[in-house]
Amino acid sequence: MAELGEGGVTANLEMTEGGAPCIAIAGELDFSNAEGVRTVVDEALANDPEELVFDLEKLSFMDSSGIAVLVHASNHARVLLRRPTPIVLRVIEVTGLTGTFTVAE
Amino acid sequence: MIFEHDFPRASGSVPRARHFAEKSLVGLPEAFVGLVALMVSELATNALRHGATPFDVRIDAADDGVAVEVSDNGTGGAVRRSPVSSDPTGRGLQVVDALADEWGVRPAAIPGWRNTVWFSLALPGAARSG
Repeated sequence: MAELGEGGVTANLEMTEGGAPCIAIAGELDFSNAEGVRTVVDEALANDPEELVFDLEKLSFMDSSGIAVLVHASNHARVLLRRPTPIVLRVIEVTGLTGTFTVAE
Repeated sequence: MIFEHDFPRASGSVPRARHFAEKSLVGLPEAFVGLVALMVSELATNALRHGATPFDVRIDAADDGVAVEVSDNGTGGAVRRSPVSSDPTGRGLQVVDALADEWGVRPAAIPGWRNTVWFSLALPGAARSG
């Protein structure tokens, strides 16, 4: 568990039952804390997983700094976004990255 | 009504500027405020990344929508890139371009002085004035 930055975000890395790493991100992800979340992503990527899951149910805000973290992950593993909030989906949509990530409920 | 706030050159100024926008527009539709806050977050980030200076946010809230200006005194100015999907960065102004009704850049009249990036967004259902 990492408590990261001013805007208030947490990034919690766990293994899913299927064996893929899952990072639950909660709070507000932006320039002030993206670097910290990226560190957690790099930790998850260290074992070279095929898939990396992000649980975004409690991520109430994300801007393009968060997109940068997700794109970084997708350059190394297949990225599955679980339960993204409407504002997060909107950011993904307007940056033209809908096809880059798999979105699941 | 006009709301203005100065923010220091610190990464924590990004969430503070966003929350300032949210508080300034309290009472307006949540989805509308969310879009404005998202764009303020992008412009504040740009000011810090490219201007690397303090910046200020000016929000002009009218009955039919808002006009927002973010000014820094960096020398960079805004450059909208067209990143390919594997590029991690360069998407801030792409977000503003997609969501704002209009946006633009007013470069500093004197080099090294204030660069301003502005955008406007009409309230849903509001009569557009121009």
